[in-house]
Amino acid sequence: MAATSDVPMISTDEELVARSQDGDVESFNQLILRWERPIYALAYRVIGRDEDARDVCQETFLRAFRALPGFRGQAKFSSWIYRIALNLCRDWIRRQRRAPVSQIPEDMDLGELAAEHGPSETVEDLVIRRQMTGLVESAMSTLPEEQRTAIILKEYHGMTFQEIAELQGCPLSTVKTRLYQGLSVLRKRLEEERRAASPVVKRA
Amino acid sequence: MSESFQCGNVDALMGYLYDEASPEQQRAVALHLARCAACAAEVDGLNATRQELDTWRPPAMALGFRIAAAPEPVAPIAVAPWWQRPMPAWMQAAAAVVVFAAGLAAGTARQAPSVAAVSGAGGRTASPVVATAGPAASNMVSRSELASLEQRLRSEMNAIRTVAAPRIDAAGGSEEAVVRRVQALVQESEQRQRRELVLRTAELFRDFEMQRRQDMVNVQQSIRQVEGITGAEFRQQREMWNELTNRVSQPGAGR
Repeated sequence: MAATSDVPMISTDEELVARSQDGDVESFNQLILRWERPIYALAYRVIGRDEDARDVCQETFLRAFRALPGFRGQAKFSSWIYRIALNLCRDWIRRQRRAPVSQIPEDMDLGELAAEHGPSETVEDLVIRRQMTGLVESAMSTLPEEQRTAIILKEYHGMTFQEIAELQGCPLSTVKTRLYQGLSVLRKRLEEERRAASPVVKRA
Repeated sequence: MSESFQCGNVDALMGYLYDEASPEQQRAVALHLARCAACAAEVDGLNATRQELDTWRPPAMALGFRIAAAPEPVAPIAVAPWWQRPMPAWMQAAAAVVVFAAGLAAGTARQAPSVAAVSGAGGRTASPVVATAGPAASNMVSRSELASLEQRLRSEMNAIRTVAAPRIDAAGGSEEAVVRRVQALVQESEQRQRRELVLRTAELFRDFEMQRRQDMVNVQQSIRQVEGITGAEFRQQREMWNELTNRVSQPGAGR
């Protein structure tokens, strides 16, 4: 809120878009720099493969660059590229014709884990820490695409119900239902997996 | 308003969970959760799940995409005429070589007459004493020829100059006449240059040939000298060897 006129100002997305549309490629590269991480993270969580997520991310900005003359500020730039990215993710999933592949290692060697744990950390803590990301990822991969995407946009990208509804092209209430159903399934899965994992660790 | 929350109201529950509900709605849900243990447990469970979701991070990935700037249309560069353009390095080197060769040729040309005089043993018209002086004498003839040729060319050039100058003064007619005059001048200049080139080339060849013959004589002399030295050395070594064998064989005979 403070006056920013005398401070070296960071250009807004809108300013960078306007300059890009005037042919300033460098301004568009600044937009890429600003948004490539979120777009990559989105693509990674939706499709579940890092290399393909990077390809989707790159393709997103390429398409955005080509479509830039047609972008008239009817939406925020971020919403616009999120839409492009989500469409590409959907195309990718359709091409794969299968659920996103989880990248968690199938079997964790507990002996190996025990060897590397520090003095202040029990094996149990370590396993939980190591497995947490994998558990969430595998649980998320079981959700239907719409629920998964809604949760990703809400939890990791902080979007409002309204923004998600616009991106997913559905009513507000549908977004909330998707979130609720998705979260409920995740809660159940994660509790199950925690219960299943704990006795194994205690025996070890 | 009298907002109230019913169990299973997903819309209100999500609004509460994500803090995206009106204050009245928030209050209504909070009131309900304080009384309904099942709903309270569900909200706690969902919040715990949300915290677990927070542990999921995408793997590190090198990104750094950039759109390469499209090549801008190159503004047409005003092409300078060839004589105003900087000379490329190879051309400069070639020019340097030509200058060097010319200098070398001039040097040998200046040196050559003295050599010829020495080999000619005095008089230029004298009969050759050394066999190699023969061609040198023929060169003398060609030299005089060249001198006369040069003189003739000089006079011709002077004539051209005197002819060309008034023509230009007389100009003022049509452009066609000017063009014709310029063409004539160019032709004359070209002919002159060609003649000069022939002259220079002939001189160069003659000087080169003279130098070559002199070098041959020097080389032959050197070879003869070396032969003499090696012959003397050989003789000396043979004598030493004979002496040595004599000395070796003498004690052997005495034993």
